[in-house]
Amino acid sequence: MCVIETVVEPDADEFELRASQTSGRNQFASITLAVKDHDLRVHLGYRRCLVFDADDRPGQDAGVIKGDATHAVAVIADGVGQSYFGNLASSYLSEWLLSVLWQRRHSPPTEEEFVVSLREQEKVFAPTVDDCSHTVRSRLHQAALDRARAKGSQTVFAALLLDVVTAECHLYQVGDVKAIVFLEDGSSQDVDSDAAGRWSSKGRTALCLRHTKVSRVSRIVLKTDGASADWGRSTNALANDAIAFDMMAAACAPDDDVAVAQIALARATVPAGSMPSTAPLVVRPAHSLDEPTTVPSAPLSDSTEGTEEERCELERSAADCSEVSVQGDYKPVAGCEEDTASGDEVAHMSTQLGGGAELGGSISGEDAREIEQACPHSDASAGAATADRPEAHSTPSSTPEAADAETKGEAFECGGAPLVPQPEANSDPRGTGEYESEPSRQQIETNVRSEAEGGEAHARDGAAAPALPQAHASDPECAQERASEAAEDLARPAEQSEEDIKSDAGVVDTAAVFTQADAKRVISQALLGALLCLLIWVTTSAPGNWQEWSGLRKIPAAAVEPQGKPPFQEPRDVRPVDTEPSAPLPDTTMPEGGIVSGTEAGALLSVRAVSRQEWLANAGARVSAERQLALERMPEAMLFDIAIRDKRVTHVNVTAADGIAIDAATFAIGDSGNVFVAAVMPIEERRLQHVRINLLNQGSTIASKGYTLRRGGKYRLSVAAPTN
Amino acid sequence: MNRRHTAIATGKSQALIIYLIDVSGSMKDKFETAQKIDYVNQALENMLTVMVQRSMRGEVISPRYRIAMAAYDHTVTDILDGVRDINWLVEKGNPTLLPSRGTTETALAFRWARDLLRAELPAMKGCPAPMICHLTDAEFTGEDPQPIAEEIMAMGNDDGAVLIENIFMAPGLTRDPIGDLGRWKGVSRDQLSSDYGRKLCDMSSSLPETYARMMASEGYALEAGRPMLIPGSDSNLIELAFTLGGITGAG
Repeated sequence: MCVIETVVEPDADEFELRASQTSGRNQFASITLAVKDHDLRVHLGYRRCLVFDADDRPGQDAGVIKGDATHAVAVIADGVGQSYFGNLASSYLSEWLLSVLWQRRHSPPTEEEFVVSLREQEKVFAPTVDDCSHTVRSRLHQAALDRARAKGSQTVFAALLLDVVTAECHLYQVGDVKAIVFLEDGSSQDVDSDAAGRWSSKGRTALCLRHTKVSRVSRIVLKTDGASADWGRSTNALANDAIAFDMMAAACAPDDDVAVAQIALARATVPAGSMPSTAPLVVRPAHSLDEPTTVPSAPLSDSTEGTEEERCELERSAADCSEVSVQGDYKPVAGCEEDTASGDEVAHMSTQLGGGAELGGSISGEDAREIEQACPHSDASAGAATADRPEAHSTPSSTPEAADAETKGEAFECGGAPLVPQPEANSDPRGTGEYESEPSRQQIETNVRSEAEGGEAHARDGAAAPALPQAHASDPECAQERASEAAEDLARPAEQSEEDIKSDAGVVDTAAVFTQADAKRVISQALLGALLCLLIWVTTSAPGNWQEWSGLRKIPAAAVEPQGKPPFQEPRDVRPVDTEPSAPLPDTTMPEGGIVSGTEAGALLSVRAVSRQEWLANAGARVSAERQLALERMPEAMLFDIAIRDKRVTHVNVTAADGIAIDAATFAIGDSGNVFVAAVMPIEERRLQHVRINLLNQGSTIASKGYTLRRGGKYRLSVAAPTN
Repeated sequence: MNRRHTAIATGKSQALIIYLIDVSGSMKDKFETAQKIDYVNQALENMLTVMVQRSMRGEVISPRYRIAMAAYDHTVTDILDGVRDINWLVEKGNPTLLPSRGTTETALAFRWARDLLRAELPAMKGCPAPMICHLTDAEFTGEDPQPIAEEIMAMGNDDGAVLIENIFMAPGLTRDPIGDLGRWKGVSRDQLSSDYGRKLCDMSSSLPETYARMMASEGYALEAGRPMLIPGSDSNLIELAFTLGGITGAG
């Protein structure tokens, strides 16, 4: 059963996200493109109404996103349920809108042009509806269908075309699909069109098209009326993640289809390079965009997206793990061999995009496959690119001059207002001379997970640079324990020890990722890194914490406060440093409240799985009622209670993987507080949970470490930042 | 009691509509070009068709509506054998009513409806307030139904009081002709020409604002607050009346 279909154009650096109306699962996918001075982060979420699940009927909403480093187009359409198979209209029109807006991305259509085109499309689409057959249950049913057919297949929609470079957006709306626009100055505005507007195959409805041009956009959210009122309103774009979507869908899908899209622009806080993407991408050979859009005949069926085995699937929700397959032919990467050792039919592929784009890999088996894409940046940036790069901020401030220059009101042009001509693709809209139409570096990191029958596969904490030495490899005890767990390991952070990699040799062909030369290099660098980290740990963290880590001493609350607040100084070594064993500690070692003390110089935090009730009791006041409600409905969850004890830490990035999906979120740590509670992730029973904690200071990683957790266990984890 | 009547009929908050149809001997009388009962059956089918269409979501028919139907003369016949959701009707088809030779014991029908409501209302929290759509063509015989009707209108749920709509399928209910249906605002008590008309008016609920808006979307100009009493003097009015009866909580 296909979920968000993601297509990456290997030659054109383009991507597409497409929700499936025929999937009965939560669908959510995101992609982050790191370009020269922007991060383009998009996500698409979809859940059909539960009423369609019983007979596996298609949902009425549709959602598609297409983009590259310069433009992004998103369309959310809501088929009118009481019209004649509104799913047909929403599916057709969303594809057409995507196609036409992409073709016109350099010269967005005017309102008048758009109305004419929409009316033409009504005529083009009409035969599809007229020829549609359906099962009739009775004369009464037939009469109702005839009455609905007379009204035509109808949909409402919101479509946006965003110029990534100029941050200008054209928004086209018919009906009540809501748009929320966030500007660079932090303000936001709902953009609604006349709810009576309809696009119909019969062409007799009033479109009431609204065209809005917005400048200095930082983020735009589109959502159908089935989504919650709060969705997308958080000032933190990253809050709208897969987990949040799962919870929202759980609350809203019983009543209606839910479709949401978000496109966020963020000024890159660090040089473009490795962006840890949460996007579980599926790769398949992309169709030519020049080809006419194929509109599936009604009713939509799986056949429109290939057979079950051909379809690619990606799921970020652990609760919704599903089958994965890969469609099309792929050019194998040297050294990438079919895995036959495990018999678990796991495929592992590496895909490169951008310069020297290469799409490669191999497929083994039909039931369980894993695909990983990595888009390594240039050699020049390799050293700086790690998995620990902070996530983009949702509402970044533009330059002060820019922020002052244009007010919120000036940023909007609505209705038939004249449109500003768009710059050419290769122009330099900011006049800085820095813009390149092709990003010098970009990365699309993907992870796909299959629903192996208890099978093993690899979910890699993708953006991790494998060449970086991994400090925890220096901990033989940890490595040994991990090796013993590897056979049942369903997901794994990318930064793993050599032992970890070896332990999976029978499961996943690591040659797809590491050549022998790479492996040697990793081993040697890991050893060097281990020695370095051991030295750092012995000289800084270990003396003050050993008793604590080993559970010999319970730290009183008063002792957990940092004894000093040293101004942050850039550590000499900003590479990920793992200093603590990741093995679970006995329950008795868990300090009350889950707070772990820090040293004067170190950055520490604790992460633990807590009960839902406990988490809500502690964090209830800090989460919305909707989120609380969703949490209460979540059947399985691992909740992390995180405490930060280092004022140098401005952000914490938590990446969690359970073998099905990877989720990541970056949280800002307030100046006043040094305790932070966050991170929720559904966990299926008996699955391992891999968590990587990255401590950041204004975009720079100062410490990082990965852990393997078991559901139901209590853990005390730490990440210690090196001292100067 | 909250009388906003704003709840929307959904698969989870279903609307309950109770039809009380007089099938006494007079329903065989000629009405326009056919018998009265023929127009009633046609109006019922149209109304159910609209309900099914309103319940459609793509290929799925969401059970937005629950329906009970009683045909009465001097006895009450439960046509659907209980309360049925719209999917049941889609499968079974709409019922066809036949006239009898009996009298018009309206009170019996209202009592049947009252008892049904007593059983259903406790489970109708969050649902649209139930509606009773009563169609008759003659004055009642036997017990006065008004006290029972008033008792019913005092019942309700969190959405509002139970609504009663009366359709009087006979000419001469109002002093003046209705005229253009698209501009007709509904009856007022002082326009009624007979005591029985005024009794039916007293047995009718006031049209809620939300229902008036829904009727407007169907092309009617009924004014909120007017009694839900429709003179069924022609087939168009009967169509209007049944449209009003099925408008309950439609989203």
